[in-house]
Amino acid sequence: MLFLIGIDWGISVNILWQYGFIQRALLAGLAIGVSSALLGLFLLLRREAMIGHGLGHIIFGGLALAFCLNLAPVPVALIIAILASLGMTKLKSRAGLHSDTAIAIFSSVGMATGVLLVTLVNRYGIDLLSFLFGDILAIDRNETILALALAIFVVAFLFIFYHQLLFLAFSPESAQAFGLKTNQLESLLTILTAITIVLGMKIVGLLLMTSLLVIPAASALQIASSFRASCFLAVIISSFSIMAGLWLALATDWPASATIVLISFLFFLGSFFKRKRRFL
Amino acid sequence: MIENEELIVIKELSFYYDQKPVLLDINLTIWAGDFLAILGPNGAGKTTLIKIMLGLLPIKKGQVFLFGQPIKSFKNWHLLGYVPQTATHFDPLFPATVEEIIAMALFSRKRLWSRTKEERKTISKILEIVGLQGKEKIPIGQLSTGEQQKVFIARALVHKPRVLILDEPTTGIDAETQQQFYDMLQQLNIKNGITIVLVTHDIGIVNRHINRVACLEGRLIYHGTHEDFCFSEFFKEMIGRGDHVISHRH
Ligand SMILES: Nc1ncnc2c1ncn2[C@@H]1O[C@H](COP(=O)(O)OP(=O)(O)O)[C@@H](O)[C@H]1O
Ligand SMILES: [Mg+2]
Repeated sequence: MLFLIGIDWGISVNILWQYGFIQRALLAGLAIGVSSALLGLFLLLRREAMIGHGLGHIIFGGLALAFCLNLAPVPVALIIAILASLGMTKLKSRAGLHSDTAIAIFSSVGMATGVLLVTLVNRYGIDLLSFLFGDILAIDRNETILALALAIFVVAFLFIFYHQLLFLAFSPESAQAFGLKTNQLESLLTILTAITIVLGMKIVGLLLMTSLLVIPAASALQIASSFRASCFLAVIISSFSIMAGLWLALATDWPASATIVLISFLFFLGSFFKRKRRFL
Repeated sequence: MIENEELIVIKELSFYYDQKPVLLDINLTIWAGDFLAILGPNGAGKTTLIKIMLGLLPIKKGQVFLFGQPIKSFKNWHLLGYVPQTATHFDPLFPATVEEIIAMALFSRKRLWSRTKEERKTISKILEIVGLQGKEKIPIGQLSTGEQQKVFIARALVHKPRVLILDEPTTGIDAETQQQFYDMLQQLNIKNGITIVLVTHDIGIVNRHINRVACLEGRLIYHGTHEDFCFSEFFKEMIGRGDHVISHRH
């Protein structure tokens, strides 16, 4: 418990809130957290938890390519992420390959390409690193607006297609027989997830992005007995982890992203042991 | 209801998976009011035939008409309710309540997140019809297989289809519950006028509920009324072979 000694526990939220960078961290963090908690729920229920992880690696390859060719990193990453995620969905429905196998193959190739390119060109620039370990406390105004716009878009999409997406996740075949355009819906969901991951990586970094996609949703699924409750719980757990993580990071000078991830993991442990779905 | 209205018409339909022929030259008409049993051993192509009728598999040779329209231009999918063979093979930890499962089919057209009082009433009424009244809030994974099947039937019925198609719905359900289950289907057929297409490989247990029979073994080897079927060579042959036939005459 020695490490707790240096903490300034009296740190006042009111004082912190006056700092622009903390406001931005909180706003952008919550926006990314809400989007990824909701999208993550569908990923997990569709057994595609690895997609977030896999896309992160593939995007790393894309970013390395962009830096080597001196192209704008975010558009390149977006294009590669969308193509890769659609490719993974196609692979999944084909040729007896399990989706996690397909994703594992894609992602290690992406990562390897990235490392190779970076080594060849010998430009392991600070920019590339920021995508990997992005700093939530160094978000600028544009990124905050981008994150908020993304969150509004994702929430609106899920709100409009709520029942269709639930139908698709629960029983794709019946959904198709019912006349839903399941292929289009699936592609839309995949593309939106890819966009969220790219922007999330740019804003909060790969580490925080992939964990926000999986951990809050997984915790919610441990204890929720309805889908509606899962949505609310995932959003609440994600938001609370971000707020508590930021606060603790500021009080201790620990790295913010890692602190947020670890706090959300505490939620996961808590819900895992609570389990048996009696909540809400 | 128009007398002798043809709801589903299949003409000279053949189907192959890659090179492997599964359905050969099928001609089959399903009339309004039918309680049709599609019989056949495993691998006979029953599921394949049904998936083609529902537009889930492409037509390679032949024609299918739904409610008088070629299947390609058919849009009124809410007129058909479907309970797939694998309906109960879902993730048992999927966080969805009975109400949410049924709401999928009720709301997915309207693209609305919330439900009104009236829509709640529709759901509770449909649950009453399948004998699950009051179970709205129970997570689907906590129900027995038989109850789960009833939820899927409720989901297939909630948008008021004219035809209900069930693919081996009683696999894994005990005999007594099966009887209740078929009684319920018979009620839907007689009282609510819903045409029922039931795929099964067990003629014995559905015997007293159905009014029409189709036997499938790649080809359609028999199609006719239930009475004719009972006196036909096929029935004797099936009983003689003892395959899948347990006689349960009541
Ligand atoms: N997706 C598929 N690809 C290749 N062959 C298939 C596929 N689905 C079914 N089959 C084959 O088609 C035949 C008919 O299958 P099916 O329609 O499921 O029969 P049933 O429902 O009567 O048991 C079987 O021999 C099966 O192996
Ligand atoms: Mg079958």
